[in-house]
Amino acid sequence: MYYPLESWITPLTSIRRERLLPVPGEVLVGYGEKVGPADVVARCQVRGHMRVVDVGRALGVDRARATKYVRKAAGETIQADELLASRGGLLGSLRGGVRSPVEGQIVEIRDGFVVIEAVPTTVELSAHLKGQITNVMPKRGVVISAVGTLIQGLWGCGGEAEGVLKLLVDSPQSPLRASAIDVSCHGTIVVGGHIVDERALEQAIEANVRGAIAGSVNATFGPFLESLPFPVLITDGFGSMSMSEPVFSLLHASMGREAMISTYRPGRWGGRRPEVIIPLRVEEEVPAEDTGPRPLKVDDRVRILREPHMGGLGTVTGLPRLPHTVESGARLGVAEVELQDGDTVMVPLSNVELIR
Amino acid sequence: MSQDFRTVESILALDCGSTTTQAMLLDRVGKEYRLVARAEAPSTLGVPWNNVMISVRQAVSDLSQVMGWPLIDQRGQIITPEHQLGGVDAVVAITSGSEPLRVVLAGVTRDVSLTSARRALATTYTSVEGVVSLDGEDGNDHELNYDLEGQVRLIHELVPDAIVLVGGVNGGTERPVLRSAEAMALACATLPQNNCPPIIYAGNADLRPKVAEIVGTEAHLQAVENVRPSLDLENPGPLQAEIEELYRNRKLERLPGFGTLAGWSSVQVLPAAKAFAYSVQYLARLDGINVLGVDVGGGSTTLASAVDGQFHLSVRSDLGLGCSAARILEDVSVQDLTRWLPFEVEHEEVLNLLHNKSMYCRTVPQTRQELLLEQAVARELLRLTLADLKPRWPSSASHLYPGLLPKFHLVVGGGGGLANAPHYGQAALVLLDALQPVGVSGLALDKARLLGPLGGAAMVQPALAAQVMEWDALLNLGTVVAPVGTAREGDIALTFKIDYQDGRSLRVEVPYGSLEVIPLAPGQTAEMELRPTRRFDVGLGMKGQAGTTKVEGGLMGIIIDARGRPLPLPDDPEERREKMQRWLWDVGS
Repeated sequence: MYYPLESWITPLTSIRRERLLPVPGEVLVGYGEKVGPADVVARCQVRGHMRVVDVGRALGVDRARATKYVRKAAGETIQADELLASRGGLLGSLRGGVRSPVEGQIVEIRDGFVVIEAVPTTVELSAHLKGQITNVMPKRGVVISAVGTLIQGLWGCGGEAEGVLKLLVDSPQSPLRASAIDVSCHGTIVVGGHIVDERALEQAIEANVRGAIAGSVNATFGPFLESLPFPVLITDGFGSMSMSEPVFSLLHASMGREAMISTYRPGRWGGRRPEVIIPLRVEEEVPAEDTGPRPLKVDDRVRILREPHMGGLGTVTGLPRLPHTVESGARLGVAEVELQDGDTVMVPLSNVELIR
Repeated sequence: MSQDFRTVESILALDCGSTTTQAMLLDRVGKEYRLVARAEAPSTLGVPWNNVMISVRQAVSDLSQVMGWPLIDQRGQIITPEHQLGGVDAVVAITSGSEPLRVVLAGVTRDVSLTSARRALATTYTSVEGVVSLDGEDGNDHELNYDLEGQVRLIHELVPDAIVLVGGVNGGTERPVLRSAEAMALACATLPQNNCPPIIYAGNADLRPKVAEIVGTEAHLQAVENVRPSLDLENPGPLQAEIEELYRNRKLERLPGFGTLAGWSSVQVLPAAKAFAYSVQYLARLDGINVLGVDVGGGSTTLASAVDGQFHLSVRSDLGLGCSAARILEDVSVQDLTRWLPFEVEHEEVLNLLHNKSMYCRTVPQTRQELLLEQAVARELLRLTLADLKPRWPSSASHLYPGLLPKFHLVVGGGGGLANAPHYGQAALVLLDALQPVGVSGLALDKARLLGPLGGAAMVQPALAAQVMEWDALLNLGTVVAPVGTAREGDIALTFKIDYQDGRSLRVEVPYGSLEVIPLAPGQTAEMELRPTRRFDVGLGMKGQAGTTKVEGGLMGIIIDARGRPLPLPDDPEERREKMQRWLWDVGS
């Protein structure tokens, strides 16, 4: 029994997504309510930056004595440029005292230092999914349930976005080209087989796209992708491999539909995968996504994750009990995989990903 | 935990790494304890599984199947103690899978107290996320005197697991240490109480009351002995112990599935690096020799050394061949990696491979090209970790040449990066290139990755661990003879005569720049007369000094590494690639 890596690339499934605030706040929707991707479901206040004012130095007095010149107490609010501390008497008035660099709240006065927390910022959490509220966690967030297409990606950056899917290529091998991006891409999530040059993304900025999806991208583009004003989701890997066929087919079939992309990046110790969700209206009951791990079996659909067949898709036709010697000379547990072109290859178990 | 282990005859050892989980059965075979069987499964610590026990149960089930001996009952629980129908007397577990302890280090000067503190922190899985010092330089470093706001923000942004405050020798400087304490206390005062990291003070001992006064009730303060009591003395032990305790409480025990794992284990679950270090220490004490053990894992790289009775451990929690594979590019360039390759490869190809490996960290190289590239990464991981360990080796009888390794009687390579090498010669070459041992050393491979688990097993049954260590742990690769010195390529560096047990003998002249492998089967020994030329020393302390030594054979035999120390690599890429290929051929790969 071998539990492989796995990716969800499925046309129709029941999806449940938690939407959680970074810090406790207020939930704005109730159980059973229907929400759209842009609807705000919860809100919280995130602490502002800390500013530290060295009152002793500013007043030119010993730090032990400086505290007594502070005109505010811990917990009080203060305006930007409001007098924070001053020495009394004529000399003190002439010197003008110390003013607050920021609007906020005094959080600590200590040894001549005053710490001011800038005004907190309000964070609004959108639903980012068209669905129904199926759980409310007071002060923390909600669970939204929906039915639709789910595609898990490999890597992403730039946060979340919603928009209409616009396929700009006619095959999964075709790269995203700048020439294909025009004013009609405004507000859409553009899709290409892979990203080969920065000009396409520069053009995407001009066209004001909401996001981009591609099969692969060169790792050297990393810093550039991180600087883009929209999220980018990579479905298959780094390099110049094509978008895998099932992903392309699903995106192709969903052209013109509204999609949500999230570019979570799982870390070494957990986290979520980046994903594309395309909500669908379905009358019949759809089975819930089975998130539990499952062992690899014959007839499973798999994607190959390393050379010499990287990106290849196929079906498991055998799981030999004995190790097999691969090209590198290593003897490893393998899966026998029939590729889409009909070839049968032996792939180390560690290098296959189950497509669910 | 106060179990009586005297009756323990069989142990299930579990090693839960970030990439692979292993299960091994150690049991009595005739009169000896041996490794009976071993199984492994890819670790299930990350998404979508988030539970170490899935891979543990898979590995144990596979082990049961191999042996035809039930180890898990129908409820999925371990059967213990062993009875007539199955089970095992005891279970030990080690892990390197949990997140490292995130630390902010605050001190006075980077090359004195902060350096000592860093070394102390490197003995367990920690990650120094930010540094505050008087002489802050790097992007992550904050200058103590003029950047108080920066320090407060640093703590707010990172919210580390611990703040380690050091500085000043005992009776020495006061002001900067107290200033640092003030900054950290101020930062803690502005954090919510439940988010406030503990402050561990390991600085000038005379200042403890003042530091306690400054920190007050703002944070939990733990004072330990000064990590640098005087300029010429380092005292890492107390800080190490405190950090280990924090790591256990805040990270190890929060590993998903840890509760069940700890419930199965007959003794405390050990950090893998510590267990590995116990084994290296044992090997050194057993024969009174110098030992260097290295472990190239998926999530971390560990080096443990015993030199002239002094023991050192260095863990790089951020450097591994798995999910952190691409992280190495923050410390080395792509050229540093490709210089070890016998073929030309595009810069982009290397980057793509490392980033894909970081995403799909359990994958293994299937082509020779990708295998050699991962082995190139392993060399650099070892070199980086070695650079942390090198300054800790004192000048001693064994440390003849500053900048080079001390004389090690035994060098052991372990971890998936070396143990999974398809050819022993490749593992040997990675060790030789990265570590560059000097003089005469035994070379061994922890092929079954037993050293860590045996460190844990020794806590239950030391005799069992010792016997398995003797019989099954180390795969003897052979003996390396590495003369120190330089000459013109092709000049004779060393002449040796080897007298085999069967009466045959062989005399060979070894030119500088070459790598020679002389067959000597495992279990065989031979007398070797070494005659270095006047520019070379074979570890006898003097150039040109001849000597005779008894050498042990192994899977590789005797390797004469006359390529020079430090190992010079040609600047010309074509010439360098040719050399790499020749060296691979020389070791039979």
